[in-house]
Amino acid sequence: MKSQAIIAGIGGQGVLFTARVFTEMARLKNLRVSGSQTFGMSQRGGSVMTHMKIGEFDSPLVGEGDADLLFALDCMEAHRNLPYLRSQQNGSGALCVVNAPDQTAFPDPRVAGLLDEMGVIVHACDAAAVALRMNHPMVTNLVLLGFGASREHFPFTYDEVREAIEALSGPAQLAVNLAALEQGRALCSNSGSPLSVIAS
Amino acid sequence: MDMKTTNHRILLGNEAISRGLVEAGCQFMTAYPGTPSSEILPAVVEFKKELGLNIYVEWSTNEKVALETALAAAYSGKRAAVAMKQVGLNVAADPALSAAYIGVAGGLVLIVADDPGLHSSQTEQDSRLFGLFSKIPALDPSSPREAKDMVALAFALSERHQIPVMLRPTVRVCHTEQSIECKPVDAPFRSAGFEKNPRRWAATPRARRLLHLQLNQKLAAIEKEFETWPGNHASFPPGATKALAPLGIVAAGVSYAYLKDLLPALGLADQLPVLKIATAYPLPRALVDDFARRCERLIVFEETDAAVELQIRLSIPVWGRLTGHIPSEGELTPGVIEKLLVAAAREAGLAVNQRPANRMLDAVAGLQLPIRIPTCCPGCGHRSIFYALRRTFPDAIFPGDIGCYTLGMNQGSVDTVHDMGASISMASGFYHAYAQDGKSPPIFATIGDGTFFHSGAAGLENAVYNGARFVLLVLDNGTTGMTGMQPTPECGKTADGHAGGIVQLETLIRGCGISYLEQADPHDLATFQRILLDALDHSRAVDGGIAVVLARYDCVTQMKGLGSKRIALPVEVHHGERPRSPDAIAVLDPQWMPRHQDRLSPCAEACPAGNDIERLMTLAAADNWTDAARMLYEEHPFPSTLGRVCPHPCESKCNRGAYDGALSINAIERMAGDRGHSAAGFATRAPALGKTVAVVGGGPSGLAAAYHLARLGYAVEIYEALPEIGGMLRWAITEYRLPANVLQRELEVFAALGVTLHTGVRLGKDMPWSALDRFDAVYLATGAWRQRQLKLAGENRAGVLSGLDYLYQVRAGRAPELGARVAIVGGGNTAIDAARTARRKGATVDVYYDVLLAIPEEVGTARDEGIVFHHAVVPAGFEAGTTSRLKLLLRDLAAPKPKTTKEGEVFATETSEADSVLICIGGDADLGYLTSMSQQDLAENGRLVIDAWGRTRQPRIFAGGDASSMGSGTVVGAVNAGKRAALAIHERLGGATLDRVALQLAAGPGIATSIAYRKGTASPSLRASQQSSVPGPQAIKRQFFRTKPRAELRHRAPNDSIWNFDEVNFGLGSTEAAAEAGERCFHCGVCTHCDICVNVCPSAAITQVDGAYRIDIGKCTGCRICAAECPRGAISMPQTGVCITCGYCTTWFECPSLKKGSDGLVSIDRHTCIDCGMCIQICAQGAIRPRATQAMEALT
Repeated sequence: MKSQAIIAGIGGQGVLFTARVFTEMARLKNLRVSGSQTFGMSQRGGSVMTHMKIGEFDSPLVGEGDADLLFALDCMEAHRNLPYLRSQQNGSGALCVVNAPDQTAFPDPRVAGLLDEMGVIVHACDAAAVALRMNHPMVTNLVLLGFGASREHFPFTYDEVREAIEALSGPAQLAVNLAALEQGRALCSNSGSPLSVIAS
Repeated sequence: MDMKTTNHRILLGNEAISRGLVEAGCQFMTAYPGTPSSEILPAVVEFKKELGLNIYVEWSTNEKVALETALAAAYSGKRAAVAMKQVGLNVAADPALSAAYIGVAGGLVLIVADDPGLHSSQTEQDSRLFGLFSKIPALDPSSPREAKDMVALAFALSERHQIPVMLRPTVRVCHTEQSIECKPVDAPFRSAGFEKNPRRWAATPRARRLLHLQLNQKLAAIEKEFETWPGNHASFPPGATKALAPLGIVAAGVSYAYLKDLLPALGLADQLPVLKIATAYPLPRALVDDFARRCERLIVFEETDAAVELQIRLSIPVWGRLTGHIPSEGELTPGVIEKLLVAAAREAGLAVNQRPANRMLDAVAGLQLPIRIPTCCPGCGHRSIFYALRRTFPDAIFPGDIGCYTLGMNQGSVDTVHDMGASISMASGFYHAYAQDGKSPPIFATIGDGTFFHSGAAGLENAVYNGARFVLLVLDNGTTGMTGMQPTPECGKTADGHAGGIVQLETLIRGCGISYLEQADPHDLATFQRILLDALDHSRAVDGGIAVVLARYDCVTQMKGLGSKRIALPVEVHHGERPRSPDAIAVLDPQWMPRHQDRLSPCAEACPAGNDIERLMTLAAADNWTDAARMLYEEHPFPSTLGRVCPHPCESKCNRGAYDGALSINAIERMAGDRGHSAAGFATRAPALGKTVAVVGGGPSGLAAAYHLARLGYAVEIYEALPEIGGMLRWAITEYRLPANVLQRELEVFAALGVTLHTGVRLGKDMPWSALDRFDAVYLATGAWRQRQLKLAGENRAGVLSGLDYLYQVRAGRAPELGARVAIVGGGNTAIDAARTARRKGATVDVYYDVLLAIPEEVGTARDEGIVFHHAVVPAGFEAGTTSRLKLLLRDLAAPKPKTTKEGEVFATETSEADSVLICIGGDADLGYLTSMSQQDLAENGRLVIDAWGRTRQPRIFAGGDASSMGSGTVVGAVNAGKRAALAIHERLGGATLDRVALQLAAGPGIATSIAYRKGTASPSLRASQQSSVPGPQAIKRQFFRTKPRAELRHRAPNDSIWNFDEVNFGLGSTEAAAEAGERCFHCGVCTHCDICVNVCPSAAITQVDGAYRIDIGKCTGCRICAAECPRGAISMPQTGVCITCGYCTTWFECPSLKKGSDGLVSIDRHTCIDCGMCIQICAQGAIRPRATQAMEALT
C-alpha cells in the first residue's frame, strides 16, 4: 500500500495528534510511514499541516497534486491545501474529509467544479459541533476521524483507527476518545440527521 | 522487515538523533531549546529513563554555555553532545571556533538544526557554511534514519581525529516521523579522566599556530576518509555507464530524498546520475571529481546555501546558486525542485515527463485566503500585556524579543525583534539616541523569562551602567513556552526532572543594578496600567532609572488552563437589537454615540457655599491665587475663614478619598483667601436698587446674606447685639483656629460694600421690633446662643458652666478661672474649642461624649495637646466632691443599664472629679424678641420656621442660620442659608425669579446658590449640573493617576501650642497647595484635554479643533473605548450591552477565541476559549459578560 495524505488545521486543533494516529495505524499494519510536521511559532494559532507518507517513499513531503487524502479540521485550511490533492487515477478519486459547520462552508463554489472534474470525493461534517455537544471540544479531530474512517476509500478502516487510538490514549482520555470516534461513525450512518451531515 | 516484531519505533527525526546518541554511548548532553532542535534533549531524557542510563543532561541557559559545558565533558574523555538551532550557533560561535583548534579527547557532536524556509527562525543561515568558517566537519543527513546512523559515525570520527563534529539536520529531517530501528544500548560507561595539558587546553596564541596546522592536517585526513563514507555514493542509471551524462545531479540533505521520489515521476531516473553527499564539509573532492568525469555538467541541490557548491572546483559547468539556477533563498520543497529540475533537464537537452499544470493552484489563489497569523493562545497573559501597552502608550517605542511574546507585534506593541536579548540593549540604544536630541519618548521593552536568563541580563547590566532610562517588562510565565515548555533556571527543576538550584528573577534583576522592580498580574488590566504608568514615571524621574515590571502568570498551555483564575461562568457575547442610526452616517443612533460632556464634580456638589471646587483646583494648580480668590469671593466673603474652620464636606465626597486620601481642598481654599485677598477686587456692587434690607444678627449667616444683598444693590443694615460683628466666628471659634486678624480682614468688606453696622443693639431689648418696619425686607439670623440644659441633678451647682459662654468670656477678655482640672461634656466643635481653650489656660482636660461630631483633624490636634477623650461616657449627675471640687457621676453607655432604679437615684458606672465642668451640647435660639402674636407666628419649637429659601410665613420676613428650623450648626451651612435668603429676598423685591434656582436644588445645596451660575460665568461643569449625574468613584480610571499621598498640613508642635492662642494649623505653603491641586485633583467629570481619548480611539475619530475635541461620527465605530478610558468620566456614551460589530476586541485584543462572523457579530469559540475573562474587560460596550446562568448544561 502507498498512500499520501495531508492533515491540515489550525494550531491547537490536534493536527499533531491526528498525525500520530496515522503513523500508529501504519505501524500496526507493518507499513513504512513518515509524517512531517510543523512546529514552533506556527503552532500558536497559525496554519498547521502534516505530510503523511505511508508505504515506500523517500521524500518526507507530499508533492502538490500527489495527495490521496486531505483530512482538514478547518475549512479555510482545507481550501488552502486543495492543490495537494491528486486527480482521479484509474477511476479512483482522491478523498477530502473536512470539518465544516454547514453546507456553504466547503467547498467554495469557485473550486467545487474543479474538484468535481478531478474526481475528488468530499465528505464533510460538523465534527466541531458534535465535540462541543460532548462537552469535549478538543476531540473534534477524533470525531472527524471516526467519520472519515467509516467512508469508502479512507486509507484505514474504522477498526484500525480504533486500535491506534487505544494504543495512543492515556487511561484518562481513552473513553472520551473512543466515544468521539463512535460519534463520528454515527454521523456517517445517519446521513441527513440533525447533525448536519454533508456528503457528496 | 517486520516492524512489529523487530524493535522499530515511530520516531521524530530529532528523537531518532537522540536514539543515535544513546546507542553511541553519549553520556553527557547539553542544549538550549530552539525550533527545530528542541525535541532532541527531551527524547534523550526519555531513553535515559526508559533504559535506566547514566546520562547527564542539562538545559543550559544559552548555547555558548551549553557548548562550553559539553566541551569540558569531552575534554574528560566522555562522549558529549550539544544541541541548538542555527541561530544558537551564532551565540556559541566563540567557543566553537576555539573548539576546532583545541579539539577534544572524548567525542563531541555538535547538533545544529537549520530552518530553510524560516518556519520558526530569524535567518536562513547554513550551518554547514559555519563548518567551513570554523573548520568543523559538517554532516548533512537526508532523513531521520540517516541522521540516527550518522550519530555513531560522528562520534567515531570525532574521537579518531580529536575534533568536534557537527551534525546538521534541517527542519524536514528534524520534524519528520519515521519508523526507526532501535538497536540495543550497550556502550560501556566511561569515567571522567581529564589529562592536564596546558599547551593544548589552555593554548596561548603561539601554541595555537601549531594547533591550526594540526587542524588543517586533521581536515585533510577527514576529507580522505569521507571519500568512502557510507552516506556518500554515486549512482548511475543502468546503460549510461559509458556515455557522458548531459546532466549530473549532486544532492545533499533532504533534497536527495525529494529527488529519489521525483526522478521516477519525471521519467528522469533512467537518465540522470546522482551523487549523494552526506559530508558537506570537508567535501570529498576526489569523489566529486570522479562523478564529474562522467557528466557534461552538474546541478547541485542542497540546503540552505551553497556550502557544497562553493567547494567544488571543476572545469565543467556547475549549476547552482552561484549560477542562478537555484534560488538563493527559501526552502527547496519538492514542488520547487520539480520546477528547477524540469528546467535544468530541458536546458541539458533531456526529455521530461512534465505533469500537467496544477489548475487547483490558480483556483485556490483566486480564493485569496487570508494568511493565518500565529497568535498567543487564548487566555495567555502575554496578550493582556501587549493590549495594556498599546492602549496606554500608543506612541511608545516597543523593543521586543524572541519567544511566544514576539506575537505582541500582532497587537502593535512589538516594534523590533532582532536576536535573543536584544530588546534590552535596543531599548538602551533608543533611549540614548533620543536623549541626544533632548527627547524622551516612552520606551517599553518586553522580554520573556527564558530569554532574559539566556542573554537579557548582560544587556540590562550595560543599560544600567550607561544610564539608560526605559521600562522593561519581564514576562515571566515560568517556562520556555515557544519551544515546548522547557524549564527555566527559576523553577528549580532540571532537564530530567531532578531538583536543581533556583535563580530568582528578582535577585538577578536587582543584581543587575535595578532598584525599581514591581511585580504585576496583567489579568487585572486597570491595576496593570497603573503599574506601567508608575514605572514610566520612575524611568523619567530625576532620581529614577530603569524601571522593571515583573509580570507573572502561568503559561496556560503548560498548565492546561487557568486553574482557579478561570472565571466562574463561561464568557458570552450578547447579541441583540442595537440602536442603529436612522441616517446611517453614524454606527449607532446619535444619542448612543460618544460626546464630551463635562459633569459636576462631587466636591462642588457637596459644597454648601457654592464653590466651583474643580475650577478652584485648576487655578490653584496654575498658582493663580488672584483668580482663585476672585472666584471664591463671588460666592461668599469668607475663603480665609472657611479655609480654616469649615468641616469640608467637599473632602468627604472627594473621589480621591478611597484611593490615597481626599484632596486637601480646605487648605487650598484658605490659601486662595490668604494669598489673593488684596488683589481680588471683590467689593464691586451693582447699582443701587433703592431698597433696604435689615439683617438681624451679624454672624456668618447674616453676614453672608448682607454680603450678597449689598452686592446686588440693596442698602443693607446689620443689627448686632454684641459689641462687634462676626457672631460665632468672633466669639465662639477660638483664636488659635481663626486668628482675629484673619477674621478682621475678611470683615472689612462690609464697610467697603457700604453696609451699615449697628453693633451692641439687641432686638427686643435695645430696639423694638417695629424698628424693622421701615425695611423692605428683614433677615433674621440671630443664632443659637442659649446654652442647652443637660437636665441632670446638680447641673446648677457652681462650677458647671456653659461652654459657649466660657468661649465668649475668654474672647471678651473676662475668662473665668476654671481651676486645674476641667471636664468637658459634648463632642461637637464647641466642646473641642472649649477643651483646647481650657488647656491653654493651664488645665488638664477630659472630654466626655456620646458621639464625636467635631472636625476630625481638630480632635486629633486636641489629643496631641494632651486632652483626654472618653468615648461613650456621659455625665449622669454632679455632686460635691473633695475640697471645693465637683464630683462627676459618669455612665458608660456600653455598660448594661439596670432595669429599675429607685426614685431619685442616679445610675452611674464611674465617678471623676473636676474643678469645673463645661457643658457643650449645643445652643438654642433665643427668640425672646418675638413678642406679639404675629411675630410668634414665625416660630415653632423655639426655632424660626422657614422653607428651603429662608422664607417665613410672612412675605417680608426671612430667616436662616442656627436660629432657624434649617440650622446646620456649621459656618458653611450658615453661609449657605444667608446666600439662599439673599437670593429669595432679591426675588421677592423684584430682582429675579427663583424658579430657575429652585430647579437646581437637586444638583446640590451650594450649586443652587451659585452666583457664577446666575451670572452665566460658571464653568461647563457647573452648568452641566442639571443634565448629568455626578461622577462617583467608578467613573474615575484610577490607573491614570499617580499615587501621591495627601499633603500633610503643618501644625505648631503641641508642646509649643498649648501655652498661647497663636494659630496652630499653618495649612499648606503656596507651592504645596499648588502641587496638591495640580498633581492630585482628578477633575472628576471635567475634560482637561489630556488627549487620552484621542490616543485610544482606534479609528482616529477624535481630533482637537480650536482647543475642543471633535468626534467624527462618520469614523466612529462605536467601540466606546474613549468613554471607558476617559480618566475622569467626561465623555458620555451609554453602554448598549450588545455586540455592535465595532471589531475592537478582535482587532486589538485579537484573541483567537473571539470569532467574527460574516455579519460582523463577534461570538466566543467554545472550542478554544478557556474563560480567562479578559475580553470582558476589553469590551467597553459591555457586550461580553459571563453567562448569567449555569447554561453549561445546555452543551451536554
